[in-house]
Formats: sequence, C-alpha cells, structure tokens
Amino acid sequence: MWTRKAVTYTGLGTILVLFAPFINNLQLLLLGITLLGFVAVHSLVNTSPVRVNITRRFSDSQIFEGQEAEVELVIQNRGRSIGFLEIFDQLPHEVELVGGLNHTIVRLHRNEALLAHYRLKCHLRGQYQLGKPRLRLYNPSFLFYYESDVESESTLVVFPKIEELEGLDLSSDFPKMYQGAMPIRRIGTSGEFYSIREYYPGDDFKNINWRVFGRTRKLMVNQFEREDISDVMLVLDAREIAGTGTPVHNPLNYGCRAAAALVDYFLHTRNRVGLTIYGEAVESIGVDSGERHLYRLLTKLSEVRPAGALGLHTVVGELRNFTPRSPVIVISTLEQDPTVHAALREITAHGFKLTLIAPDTLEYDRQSRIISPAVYFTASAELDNTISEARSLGARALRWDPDSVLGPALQEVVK
Amino acid sequence: MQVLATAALAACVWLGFVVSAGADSLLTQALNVVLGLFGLDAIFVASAETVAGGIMLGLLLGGVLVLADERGYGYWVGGTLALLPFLLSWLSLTGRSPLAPEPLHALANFGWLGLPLLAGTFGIWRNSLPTIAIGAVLVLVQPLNLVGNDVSAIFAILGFIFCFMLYIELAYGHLRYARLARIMNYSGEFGSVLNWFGMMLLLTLGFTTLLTAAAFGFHDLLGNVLPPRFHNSIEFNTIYGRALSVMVFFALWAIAQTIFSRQFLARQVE
Repeated sequence: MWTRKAVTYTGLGTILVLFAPFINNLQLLLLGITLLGFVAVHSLVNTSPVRVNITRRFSDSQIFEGQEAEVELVIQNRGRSIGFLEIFDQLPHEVELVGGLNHTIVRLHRNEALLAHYRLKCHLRGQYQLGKPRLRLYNPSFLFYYESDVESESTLVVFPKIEELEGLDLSSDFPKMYQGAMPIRRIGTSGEFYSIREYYPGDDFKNINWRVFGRTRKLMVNQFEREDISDVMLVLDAREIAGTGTPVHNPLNYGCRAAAALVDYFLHTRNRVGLTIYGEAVESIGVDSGERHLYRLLTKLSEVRPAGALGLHTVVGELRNFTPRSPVIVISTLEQDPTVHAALREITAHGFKLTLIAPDTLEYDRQSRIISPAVYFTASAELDNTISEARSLGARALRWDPDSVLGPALQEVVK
Repeated sequence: MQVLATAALAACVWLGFVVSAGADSLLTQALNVVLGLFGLDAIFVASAETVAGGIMLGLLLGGVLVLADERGYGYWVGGTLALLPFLLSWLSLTGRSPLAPEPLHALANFGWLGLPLLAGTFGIWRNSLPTIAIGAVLVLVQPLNLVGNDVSAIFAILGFIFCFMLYIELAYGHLRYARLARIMNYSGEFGSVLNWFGMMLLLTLGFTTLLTAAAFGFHDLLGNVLPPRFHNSIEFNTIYGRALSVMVFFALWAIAQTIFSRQFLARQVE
C-alpha cells in the first residue's frame, strides 16, 4: 500500500520533471528524478511478504473478575530479516490494559524470536477471544506498508467474582443417604449446636452441659445438628431483561456473582450442586460435587449472555427430576415474567425448600437515567409484591442490593 | 538526527544560492518591485555574505522560536516575530527607528533569506510537519529565477539534491519515530530500529543516486536506439525531451516492477 508521503513524492517528482524544462532548470529536473527514483528504490525495500509466527501465553488462562492476567507474545520470524515490524494484538473492549502495551515495534533478524509482555485486567465475566495479531510492515522512509493478520487466537475465561460465604443455613430438613458436611435441621453429631434436653441414662457424659447443671441442679445434655449431603439446585434468570443496565451493572452479572459464590460455598462444604439457566432456552447441569464440577459451573456462568424471554415456569419441568425436598435457590430479577407467581407456587408445592434472590439494580438504573422514575416505581412495587408472595408461600426471599455483601443479606433472610 | 537535518537544511540554502550563481531570484525581484512601488530603495539582494547572514539569523530566530514553544510561549514569540518587520518598517519610515537604515535593511534582507531556516528549524525540533513542508517549499522556491541552470553547476546541484533529501527524510523520520517512541520504549527496540532507519536511508540515497543517473542517462540510450528522424528532432534534443525520457524510464520501471513483483507472481500461481 502507498502512504500519503509516497503519493506526495511521486506527484511532486512528476510535476518538477515536467515543469523544470519550462524554466530551463536542471536543478529542479534532477530533483524531480531523484524523488521518483527514491520512491522507486523504496518500493523494493522491506515490502516483500514476511513469515512471522505469533503465539500467546497467559500467566493464567482462567481468572476471576477484577484479577489481572499477564500475556506474553512470542514473536518468531520464520522468513527474511525485517527491519521495522509493527505488531498490534487485538483485544476485546471489555478488557483493560494495565501494564505494557499490546502494540509493539520490533526489528527481527532471520529466525529470531522476541517476547513482548503486557498485562490485562478483566472487569467483566466472559469468554474472550484475544487476537488475531495484526502486522504492519513499513519500509524505512514510510513510503509503503503491508498489512496482514496472523492466525493466532486464544481464549481467556473470566469467571464471576466469588464472594466468600460463611455459616449459611440454606439447608433441607431431610437427609440424603450419604453423609456430607451440609448442616440440615436434624439432630446429629456436628459441631453446630441444635438444642438441649434432659439427661437420660446412656447419654454420653461429654455432652452434659455443666453450666446449666450448675445453675439448675438438673442434668441436661447438649444436642448438635446432624450434617449430611444436600443436593442444591441453583436456578439463574438469563432473560434479555436481566441484561438491562450497563455492561457491568446489570442483574445478570450480579446474579452470576451470587450463583458463583453459592456454588463455591456449597461445593466446598462437600454438597452436590446443579445449575439451571433459563432465558432463550433452558440449560441444565446436573448435580455433582468436586473441584472439576466447580470449574464446570463457573465456566458456564462465565459464558451466560442475556437473551430470550422464557419465564420461570419453564424451569419447573426440569426440577421434577431433582431430589425431592432439596433446596432450590432461584436467582432472578423477577421483572416482566407473568409466569413467576405460578412457578413459585408450583416449586413450593413440590416441597422444595425455596430461596429467592432478586438482584435489584433498579435504583442504579434510575440514577443513571436508564429507566424513568415512573418505570422505577412500578417495577419496584411489582418486585416487592412478588417477594411478599414468595414469603407467603414459605420461601426465603431477598431483594438484594448488589452494593451490599451477599452473605450477611442472606443470613438476615435465613433467620 | 535533528542536528543533521538542520545542518542539511542550512547547506541546502547555501547550495541553492551557489546553483543560482548570484542571479536575483523571482521572489527577491518581486519584493524589490513592491518596495519600488512605494518609492523605496531595493534592499533585498542575494550575495555570499547576505546568504551567510541569512542562514545565521534564520538559525538564531528558529532556535529562539523552538525554545519559546517548548516553554509554552510559541504563539507569543511567533506573533512578535511576524509583527516585528512591520513595526520596524513603520518606525523606520516615520523616522522613529533607533537603528540606522543600513543595518535595518541588512536585517530585513537576512530575515528574508533565512526564512526557510526559521521555518525548517522549528519544524525539525518541534516535530511540526507543516513547517517542515514550508521550509522545503521555501528552499526550492526562494532561489528560483528565469536564467535557469545547466551541467556547469552539476556538483552544486547534486549537493543541493542530496542535502534536500537528507533534510526531508531526517526531519520526517524524526517526526514519525518520535511519535512511535512511546511504543518502541516498551519493546526496547528503539535504538535498533533507528540504526536500521539511518543505515537504510544512506543506502537508499546511494541507490537513488545511481537510479537518478540511470534515468538521466536513459535519454542518451534512447537517442542511440530510436530512429535518426526521432533523435535528431528539436523536441528530443531540448531539456523537454530529456524530461520525457525520464518519464518513459519510470513508466518502464513501474511496468517491470508490476510484472516481476513477488505478489504478482504469487497471484499468477493462485
């Protein structure tokens, strides 16, 4: 490709060559020839195609929101020597460059390899494609350039940020057949206190509450909760409306963060967790446990996009196969879903221990003028009504302000 | 790079005067005619001494402007320099000038002859493309006259062309590489790429000289190849005929390059 400089040189050279004879000026004629000659010579310098391989290495190809990733570009010259090579690694808009540059200029000798580093910060969950790197080859005097893309793409997975939850009691009343660490509201042998009762012969002496005995002169024994595996199903609303707001501040993102925190908490307390996402379609990942399952669920949460308008009712069918009377945690904005009332009734009617978390970004949307005050008041009242109805059905329902920490907010509801 | 470019520009101004062999340029004559219209004496003249004085004054004023611009006073000092000739003229014409007329006239002459250096120096040191271009145009246009020149001044002409190309290339190269310096600092390749640029500039200027000689000599080759009726014609034997030969040479070069370029061959294979 010709640059503006090359076009200017050629134009000026031609004008001088054709104009100089009129004033019998050899100086201008020769200058015109020189300009044309300069362009002609430079059309041969550093403009032939190059063979450059670029590979990308990450310090960590799976990171969490708000974390940084170090990217290393390995630039290998497989062809001729290159004097001036501009390399621009194309990045998605969602990632922020916090160190180094994704744009570099190098000189590469034959078979030489160079490293370029830069650091990215990812503010938003997702699966991002980095690349293809764009090469621009200039000749030394910037008269011609040649551009091409290198086939080198990499995927960076950004998981939702995980908030650490502690001592949450979202348990079922019914044990499963295999023991686990999820406290359920049954008497057992865990460290969690349940109640006290009178001593009966045969009770373990170590369970006698001596403080109560000192006070009342009656032998009383402590009873503890029983710990068991519990199957937990998370239901996430990924309808198009859940994406309302800014790319960072929207109910879906906050819902994903809440789901990630809950998944992490339940799996690390050795329970089995499943995930159902509804929006454009209903996608379900069955209950399972372990570290691999955690990454499977987090990967799924990182790629959720707002789409579709399927109601909560469509999930009820999926829940029929789920362990009866187990905890079901619905994370939904609840807006513009006419099926939500019937669905909540049906879920509770099946005996599932329902917890409802409604990430509320209405206030933020109103302040940012994304929605009008009239829409805000209508939506807010509707949300309050739905939450009240869920509570009346025996569900633990929470209108969650994402600026507040999830753990304590959930504790409040659980009480 | 900047020092070399400034030196090349100063040499260019000097060689431009040498090529014109002291003949008054069209623009200088025009200025004197304008002065004559107001009943004033002609004060603009190009001689070895005045050109040397012009080069020094141009460098001095250019340097002052560069320093002022670095400290954020560029527009103030530039405006003052632009208004100063009018102010001094008015003071001189109304008899209020503290300076005698002769030094004032010499100063005006130096200022006029040093104008390409004033613009060019500012452009080189402040990375301003428009002023680099103004400097280049002034260097070409200022010494132009109707007398013309021929091979008798060939060394001065070649020197002028070499210095002109050096000025343009180094000034523009510095401008571009200064813009890219931020990126290159990250890659740690700044020195390496600049060395390559300098080396390639000298090499390509050498090859350009050879190509210029070939293009210039192509006229004689055509004279031997073409039929006598053609090469004996008046058109062919004037400088205009030589210019046409040059255009034919570069047209043939463009055709040859298109046919034999690697991309073209690659397309044929596909």
